[in-house]
Amino acid sequence: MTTDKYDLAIIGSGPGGYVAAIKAAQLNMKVVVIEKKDLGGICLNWGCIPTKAILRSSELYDFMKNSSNFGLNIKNVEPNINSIIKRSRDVAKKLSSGIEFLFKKNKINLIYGNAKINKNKELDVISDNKTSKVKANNIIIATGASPKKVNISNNSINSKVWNYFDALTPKEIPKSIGIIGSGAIGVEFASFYNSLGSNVKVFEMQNEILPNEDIEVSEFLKNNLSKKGILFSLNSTILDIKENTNFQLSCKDNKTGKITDHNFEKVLAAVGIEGNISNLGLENTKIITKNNQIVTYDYGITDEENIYAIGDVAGAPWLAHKASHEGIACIEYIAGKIKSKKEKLVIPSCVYSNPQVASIGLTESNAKKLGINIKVGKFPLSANGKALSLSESEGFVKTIFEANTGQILGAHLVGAEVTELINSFSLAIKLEATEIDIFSTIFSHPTISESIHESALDAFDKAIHI
Amino acid sequence: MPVSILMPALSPTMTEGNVAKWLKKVGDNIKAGDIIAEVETDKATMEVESIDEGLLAKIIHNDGAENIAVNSLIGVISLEGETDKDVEVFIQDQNVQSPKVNNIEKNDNEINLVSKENKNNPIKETEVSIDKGKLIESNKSNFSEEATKISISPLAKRIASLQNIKIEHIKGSGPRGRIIKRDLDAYIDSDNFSEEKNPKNGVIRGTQTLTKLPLTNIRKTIASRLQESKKTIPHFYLKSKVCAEEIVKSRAIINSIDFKDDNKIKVSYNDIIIKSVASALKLVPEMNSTWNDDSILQYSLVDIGVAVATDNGLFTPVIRSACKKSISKISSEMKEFILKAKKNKLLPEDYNGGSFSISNLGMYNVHEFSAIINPPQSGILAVGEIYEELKLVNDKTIPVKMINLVLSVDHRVVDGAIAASFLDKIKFFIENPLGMLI
Repeated sequence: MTTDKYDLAIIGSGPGGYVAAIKAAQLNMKVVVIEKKDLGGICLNWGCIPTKAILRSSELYDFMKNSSNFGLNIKNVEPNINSIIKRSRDVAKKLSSGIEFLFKKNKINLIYGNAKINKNKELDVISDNKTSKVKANNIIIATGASPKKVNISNNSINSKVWNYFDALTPKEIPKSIGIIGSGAIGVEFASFYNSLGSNVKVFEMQNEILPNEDIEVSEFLKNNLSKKGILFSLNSTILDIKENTNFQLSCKDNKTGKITDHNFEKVLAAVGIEGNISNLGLENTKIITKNNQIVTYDYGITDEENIYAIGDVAGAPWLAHKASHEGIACIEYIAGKIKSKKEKLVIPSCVYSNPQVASIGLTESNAKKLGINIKVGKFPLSANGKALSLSESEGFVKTIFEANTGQILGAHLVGAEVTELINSFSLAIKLEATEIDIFSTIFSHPTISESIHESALDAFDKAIHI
Repeated sequence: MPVSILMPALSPTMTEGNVAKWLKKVGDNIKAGDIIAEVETDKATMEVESIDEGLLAKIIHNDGAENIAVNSLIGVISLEGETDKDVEVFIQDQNVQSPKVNNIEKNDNEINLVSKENKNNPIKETEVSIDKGKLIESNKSNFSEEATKISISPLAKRIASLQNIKIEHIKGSGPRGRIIKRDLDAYIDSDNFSEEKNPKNGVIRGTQTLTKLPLTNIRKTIASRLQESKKTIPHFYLKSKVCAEEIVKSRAIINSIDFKDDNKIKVSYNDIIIKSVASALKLVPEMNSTWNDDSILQYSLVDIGVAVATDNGLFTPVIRSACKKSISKISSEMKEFILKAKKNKLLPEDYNGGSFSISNLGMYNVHEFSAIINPPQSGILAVGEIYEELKLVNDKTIPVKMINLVLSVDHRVVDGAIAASFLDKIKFFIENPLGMLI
């Protein structure tokens, strides 16, 4: 058995782990990363990236179906699901090998295997039935999360219900699919399978889809997707799933108590994720877990000295960019480069349905619940020249400001390419811009981004184009 | 295009300079690196080096020209092939762009200095601001103000201005020390802020709030009289420790006398001290005098002012012929004065005149203090609290009641020896109240 000694060992190579590894290497630490399966983690292999790839296919398919709107005569366009999936896998593979290159460039050691913290706070790494020991001054747990199972009595059926791994690699397009959960994952797959011709129905326990988003955005998206043929069953609890020739969903209406059955060729569970905390040897540490996630403090500090946790395993929001940010902060802390108190993070979030949703900060109702005196601006994309010329006039930019200071409290966008627009707000909020700074910024024309300008103006009753 | 020679800024604070001497004549060839002139400020002389090649075409400000604003045109270099006409047009253009600098009030910090197009920087970064009806141009690139600028986010700046917070006192925790919202939030939560909060009609200075309270007439009078006193009267001070045992006993006896007419007397220590001072003043007429610029006025009657504190301010009603009055009479007059003073009903005849005053802060537990003479009087006695001191009497230490007196005297009227004998007499009467009966 060999023992290697490192400054830092990172368990998991997702967007939290691999970014932390590169940052640490840049700061001259000797780094090892232990990855159980796919370099790049869920994000690159089974999450953010491959879903964006398949959604690109469905988006283009939507364009072509409506090609006559653009004066184009395209006929007999048909999706080839195998090719769509192959392309998606290729994109993931390319990025994954990109990380391999980055690791080599930064002289980061990569070990494939399962890592477990032992009583001496070393890592026992099991790969190919061989066990090796890794000694490190610091350990970062970045093991991510896995899809939650639907909470039903007939638990064995859960293994036959799709999760996002299955939904990303279908053999064929299902005629019908029932999606449980209307968060980002549920809505994105609903958008994809609807576009490709499946009959889609989405079940949501709460009374709005994307329950974390501003209610105007949720309403807008629900209406838009409904028009495209997606069915929504809100306030619904799944009681049971049975498998006959099809899957039969038994669903209770939370308001009326009425129980209905629904049949689908496939069922996708998108009811959230939970942290990967098992088989890590956490019992050999003082680390505290709660609801399947590791309890952390600023910079990913845990209750065990010199062991840190970042990303999904350390809790919501479950977003790759949050994991990366935490990774960098954690490394800077370990390297002693942190000089000031941790700032409260304002984390943007994106949903790549068609139309897209992007948001940051407080929703209008949350701001009101906090008793903040706010000003709200809203600019419809139907009044934006670029959106009209793209035939993408559905959507809006909603902005929320603190009335006295002009602080940007939140932004909620729905429409084409709004996932690219949201970073303007991230930057403005980070730099603590006020409404006046947005007013006096020149937004290039014609762009959809001009809606940011107009929305801010509208909040203070100064909009030009509405 | 011809090239301008500008009055250089020798330091960031320099606003204008003098042309000491031209080292080149009009028509001279100039090479890059040539020293063409010397320029001076009140602090230093410096050489102006050419960075261009050409002909010195024109000198605008000759040797000895003074107070030329920084970046004003002092000369022009013409390049190869350029005619006098070109130079003239160039100068005219420059003058259009360059307002007369001398009009600018130098002490107005709001006004940025005038500058002109810099030949190496053909893209002008020019701000035009209207101030007091004058057109001012400023070239931002020229000044190192940036270095001293406080880095603050727009939001933090807004919060600071809404809450009237001076950002100079706030330490930034953002990138490169930038002040961000959380720094202001922390400051607002701190004690410093609660002290400076809500300055209605106030002027903020630092973390301190100044609230403007309008002056009452009494305040104005007190201010001007006492200011005058301290400015014009050469005060000197004599201090004495006096045994208070006897006045304590006497007062107890007086206040216990029952005259059977239901008119119970209740005198204060101050009443007894007034009588003591009056008796002493009678014996030292030099002290019962006031300065009259070309003479000294000596009084025949002993009128004594007594400081009375009220919510409206300080009054000094005068007990007339105090040496002739009984302590009980003095006491009843004082009670009446105090009542009138508190109601703001003292008449001028109640407080005018007198050569001497008493100020007693004993009731405020003041041990001793020095008072300012109330002009035109020539002295004031500051009376402290009655306190106990251990004294060795017949080989035994016993507590003895004491009182400290500080006499302030106008040295123009009397000298130390006379004042000392006066203080000694006051001491005598306080320690021997029977003497006042003589």
